Amino acid sequence: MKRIQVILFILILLIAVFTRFYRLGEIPMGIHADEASQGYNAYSLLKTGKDMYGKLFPILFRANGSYQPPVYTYLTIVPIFLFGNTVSSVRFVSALAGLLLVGVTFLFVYLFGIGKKEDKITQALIASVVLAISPWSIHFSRLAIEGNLVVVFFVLGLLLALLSLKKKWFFVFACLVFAFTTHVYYTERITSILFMAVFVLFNRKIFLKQKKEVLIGLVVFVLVMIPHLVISESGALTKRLSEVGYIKDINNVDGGLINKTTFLTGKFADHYFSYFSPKNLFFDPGQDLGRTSQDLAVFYPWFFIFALAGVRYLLQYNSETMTKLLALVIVIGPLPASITGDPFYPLRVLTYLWGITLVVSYGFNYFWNWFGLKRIRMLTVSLILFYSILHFYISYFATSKYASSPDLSYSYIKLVDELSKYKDKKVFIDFSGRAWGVGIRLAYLLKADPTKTQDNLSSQLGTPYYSGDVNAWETFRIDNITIEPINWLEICGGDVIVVGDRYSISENQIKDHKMKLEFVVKNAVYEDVLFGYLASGKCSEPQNR
Amino acid sequence: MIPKIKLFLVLVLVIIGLSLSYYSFDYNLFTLSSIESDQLLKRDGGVTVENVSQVSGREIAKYYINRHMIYSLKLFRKISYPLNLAVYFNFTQNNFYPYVILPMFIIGCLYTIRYHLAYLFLYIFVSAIFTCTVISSKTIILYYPLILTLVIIGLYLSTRYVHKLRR
Repeated sequence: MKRIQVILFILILLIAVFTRFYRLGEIPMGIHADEASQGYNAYSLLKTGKDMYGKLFPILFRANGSYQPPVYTYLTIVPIFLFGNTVSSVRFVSALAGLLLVGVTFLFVYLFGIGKKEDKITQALIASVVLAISPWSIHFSRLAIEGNLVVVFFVLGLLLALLSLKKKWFFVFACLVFAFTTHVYYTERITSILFMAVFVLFNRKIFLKQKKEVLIGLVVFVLVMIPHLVISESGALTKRLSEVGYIKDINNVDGGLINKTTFLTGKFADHYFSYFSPKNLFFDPGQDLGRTSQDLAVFYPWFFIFALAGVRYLLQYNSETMTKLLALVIVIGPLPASITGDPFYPLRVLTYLWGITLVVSYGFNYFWNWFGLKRIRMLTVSLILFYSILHFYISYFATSKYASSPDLSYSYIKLVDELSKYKDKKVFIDFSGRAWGVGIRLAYLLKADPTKTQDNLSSQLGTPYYSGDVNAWETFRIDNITIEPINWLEICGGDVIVVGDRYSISENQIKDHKMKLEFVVKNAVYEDVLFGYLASGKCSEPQNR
Repeated sequence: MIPKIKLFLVLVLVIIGLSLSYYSFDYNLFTLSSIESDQLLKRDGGVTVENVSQVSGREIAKYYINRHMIYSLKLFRKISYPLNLAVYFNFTQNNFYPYVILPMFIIGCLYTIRYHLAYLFLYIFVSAIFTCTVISSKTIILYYPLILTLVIIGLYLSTRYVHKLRR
């Protein structure tokens, strides 16, 4: 590589560092219940070697009425050990994965790009910069999401799989990495296995000559999958799918087998093709704030032109490995998400979005080659990239951070400061459907003693640790704080702090329990959202809710 | 032959576009009611123009939201409405094209991208201009000729491929 190319690559990495780590704990504002459970489980493992239920080295982590794949939580132990129980600690692994993905993508395109070595370097630089500034990659790197972590492992698997075509022993490592991805995120149980099967099938002539490595690879693959088999009967393995999938809806379909099959096929096709809609990919921010920022889809609108040009470029080189591989990733990528109930859910297709990012980058490459004058093309591409970063910065860092604050319960982070003033009093915090995950959020942020939490939560398990039936309504006790649906009879003892939102405590209850407003917690846009009351003395007419 | 088809398609597009602009002109193109701006911004009940501008306290954020973001959201929402496969092909609703011809459409689409990309850009660009002036529900009509052509190309290419295989 020339010196200018090295400088450009370092610059791209710096952009990736900035967009992924700048005010990581503050933007998006708040902490999601799933982020908090990953953080608290990691904290519990760090302190006791067990998760918050007292389970030793779980295969899946039971949390928030469901299960979380384990790898992200295990990796989060390191940042929590280094930086403590902060929001940025729990997001650190994802941000680092986002940064590593830029590097791995560069390496991937550099090794398996199209054309001569010099062309491959240009393609690799363009691919890494497009990825570094893509809204989906930045957004999901700033949240503790297993789906983001898995992309870097998947691309590493791709790299090893392609290398195995030249050096046969790489096949064993490719099998190891692909099997490992199934423990990182749910979707890879379909994507990785399917990809590996199709990859071997397409290259059967090569693999038939190296039977020994293929056999060892398969053994490694099966060995890494054993934990799944251990819990396969419990219902825990498919718990998430049963929650988000639409297969269960088949019981509501009237008529015979034909109607049911039509329903399933139709639903699957509708959801699958929604991932190929330019509207969803490039223009529509959608209603779900989990997508990206307030006014952006998963890609910038102007990337649509480059995506078309990228398809044109790749079709031109349709016999190249890169084209075939991207086609495979793009076709397989949305399959797992298509069996879930949400029509377009980017979080479940990040591997696919990585594939689309490479197509977009080849579109840039197409225009790069099309422009004759070096200076003009450099200026044009730089302007487009600069405008994209500027647009994203204003949209995401200046405005959209507020949009996500209600969703991520930012007010409960502010509540932690208020609670520190009432260590000598009993505190009851209302736990309702409106305040989902408040217990686990506070347990993480207040560094609740894991041993006590293990005793408390294990007594509320109700079913075996791995089960298809998981209790989501657990009471959390953190020193003087109890988080549960308010029991007004308990409050009648007097001198307690009761915290809830505007619907938790009525005017009559304030009167009955002789309560006095102690504090108000505002959300990110200065609206009063949480109210803390001091209930003192006996109740005039105690009522149970 | 192909240049004639291309010219014919553009002519059809312009005629449809002009007719729609005449009969279904979007009079709300440059106006934005407070309800509409809230709908555009308040995804999941999060943020309104007022409270974000108030909190951010930065001129650039205020300017961006009030002058740029909501209008670009409206514009992109309009332009992208017909660029949604589900509007034309959908299993659960009765749409203009049956799902069985989707593979033909994909083949036609890939062929056009491969050999007539500039023309495709031109068609989308002209359609986008008309899309801005026509009420959203009618904009999909602008793409019917293109989709039909792509399906025919796909059908032609597949039959040619089958004939080749037979020989």
